[in-house]
Amino acid sequence: MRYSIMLQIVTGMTIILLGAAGLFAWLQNRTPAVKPIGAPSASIAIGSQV
Amino acid sequence: MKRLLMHSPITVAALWILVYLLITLFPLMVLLLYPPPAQGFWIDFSVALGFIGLSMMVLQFVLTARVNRIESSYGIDILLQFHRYTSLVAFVMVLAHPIILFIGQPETLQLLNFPQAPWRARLAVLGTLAFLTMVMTTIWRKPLQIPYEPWRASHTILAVLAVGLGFGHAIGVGNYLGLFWKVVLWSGMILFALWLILYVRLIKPWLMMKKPYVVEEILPQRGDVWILALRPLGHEGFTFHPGQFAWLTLNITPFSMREHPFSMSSSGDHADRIEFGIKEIGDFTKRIKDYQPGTRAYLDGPYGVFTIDRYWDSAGFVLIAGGVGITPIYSILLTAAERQDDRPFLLIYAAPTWEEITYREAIEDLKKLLHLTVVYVLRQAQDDWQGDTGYVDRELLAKYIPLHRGSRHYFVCAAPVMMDAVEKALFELEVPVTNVHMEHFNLA
Repeated sequence: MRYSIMLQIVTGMTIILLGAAGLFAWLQNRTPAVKPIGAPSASIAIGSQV
Repeated sequence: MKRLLMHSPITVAALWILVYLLITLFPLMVLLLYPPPAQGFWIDFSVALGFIGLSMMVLQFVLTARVNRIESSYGIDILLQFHRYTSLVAFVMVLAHPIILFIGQPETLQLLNFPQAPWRARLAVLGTLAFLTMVMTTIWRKPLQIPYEPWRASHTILAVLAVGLGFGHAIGVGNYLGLFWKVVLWSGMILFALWLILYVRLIKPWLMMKKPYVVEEILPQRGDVWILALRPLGHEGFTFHPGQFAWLTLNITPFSMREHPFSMSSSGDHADRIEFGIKEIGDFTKRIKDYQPGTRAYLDGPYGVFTIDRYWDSAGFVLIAGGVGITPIYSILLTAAERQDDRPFLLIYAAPTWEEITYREAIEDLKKLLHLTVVYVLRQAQDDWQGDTGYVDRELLAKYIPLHRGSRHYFVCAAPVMMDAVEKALFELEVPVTNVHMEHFNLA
């Protein structure tokens, strides 16, 4: 019973984590925001590979 | 109100889950500060899954480090089960990360060509293989006949490899970890995990070395059980909440990590003599009787939340034991008798035969000191046996447990099959799930 409840909790947490991953991707891909003053440009990044 | 909330298991659980989610997601959300250019929803989604999987892997080190603060909320068996479930979730996320990438950008399949792939891809493949091996050898340890101790050592090594290689891959790709301070943040997390490994493997054994014990005596008990009595050597030992357990290392250095969990069977208030009831089941337990008084021992403990001390307000207790599962329950009864606890105790004790009832005489003696009712349930009884026979099932429990189910706390310690059956029966009899406490034999 306890493990069954825990399984339900972990399932709920997994859904939240998947939602957060979706939110992350959505925030990244929404309409480009204005870059803050002083923000480093992408060119100083170590790399940008897949 | 605050006290009530902090003692409610549901509130405590909700708080820990919130903390877990925040720690898992915080490093991911930090990556959104000064992010690299977007790569499309699905690619970024897969990247997020990879980072969440890595975060969860790091948190596994915390779950298994026997951190008292976390452990005291639930008990090690619950934490280990949570560890198993969340490891599988992390594994699925880590696997989904490249699969989504391969579907979204089929050209990236070339990264699987190991000899020609860049290092960042090789690290990912190796890390995933380490994770896969770790999951497979854990789920199928028994069918694969992997002994516990080598499995435990390999589990640690594979875990460090999986996290280290995964982190190396994230730095190698560099999209989201391109900025120095982000690398520092993630490195901090990884170093924390490594620190926990060092603590468990080196610092804790070193602390245990400084507080040795010696075997005082080894006494036979009914039901193939041996009472192992230890005396602290040069220190005061420890008191414990009756029902708790400790990890025992016998006749070898604690650095060997060949330790075994056993419930204490003595009174929790006597630090100068700590006893364990150990049944001859496996290789280690069958050798217990061969050790001599004077043998050096080390203890890591006490651990566990299987104790009536947490329920001071309870009107009484129902204790359900099967076989050697009586060990922590006997400690609970003995300590209660010494403390002159006047609340009612109901002990339902299943054993194969009348002769195999461990601590039988001592339990009968405790009836004189406690408000204690004992129901023995024998698997095989002689013809003149007047008591109950068979299994501890719903009918038997309904006959004995109080009508006002929630007025008691229920403690169950038995073999897994009996535990499952009793837990189900108690649930069907409408015993509140928060009033049922269980101690599992097999933590591995």
